[in-house]
Amino acid sequence: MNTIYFVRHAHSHYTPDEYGRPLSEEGIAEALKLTKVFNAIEIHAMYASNYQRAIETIQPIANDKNLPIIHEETLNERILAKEIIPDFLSAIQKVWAEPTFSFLGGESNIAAQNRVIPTIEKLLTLHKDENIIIGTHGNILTLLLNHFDKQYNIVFWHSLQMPDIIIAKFENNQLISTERLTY
Amino acid sequence: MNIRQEDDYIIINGFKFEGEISNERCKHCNSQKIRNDQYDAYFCPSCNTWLEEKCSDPYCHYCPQRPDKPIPEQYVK
Repeated sequence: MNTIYFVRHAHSHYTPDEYGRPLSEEGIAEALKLTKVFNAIEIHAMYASNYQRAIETIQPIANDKNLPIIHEETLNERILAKEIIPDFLSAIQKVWAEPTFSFLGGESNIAAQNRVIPTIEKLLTLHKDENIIIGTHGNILTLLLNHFDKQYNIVFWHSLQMPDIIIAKFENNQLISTERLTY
Repeated sequence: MNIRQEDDYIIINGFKFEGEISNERCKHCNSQKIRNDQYDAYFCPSCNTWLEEKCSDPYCHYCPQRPDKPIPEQYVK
């Protein structure tokens, strides 16, 4: 059995700089609280997207456990479009209603899943019977869970907090359960 | 410590070199091994130690120039 703790990043003020956008003060405080949450949980390895807000969210846990964070570009947030879309929520509804649809320069749901799932499968193979943390983002987290179970959809995405922790258990590369870690 | 692979390069806390992240693990701490192409050798980033001995060939292209620690002190954090 594999256990992946998916940690959706803490609060960050929006800027168009997806790579370099840091956590807000509130987000930094929330990230520091996560060390207590994971204090008694054995973690074997940690991964994150290349985005600063995802890395900063799990950095205090990594420091506490003296584990390196390996960055994976394929864990980055789904690219919705090249340009800023004024009506973000309508755009999200559109891509969830039409899984192969993409805005100019963006990824469809299917394209984003095709990008992230091989990495998840690689990590499941590499970390058999281990617990790992993945620092990630709301949309790509929902999409990767949706690949395994269609109940994870736009409603689930709406329910995600900043930060949020979803414990996902896998057996033979199949998702067998999820649970939200409340603290 | 943050580790990133960009094409043929590894970047560890800003320290950049040609190499790759291996799927094999350090037997001491279980971290993934990293290969440094310049020295043709694997090391553990968490232990900051080489995982293989230098060879005895004084004319070896790799081993005589290999530093004691794989990650320079100023990049270890």
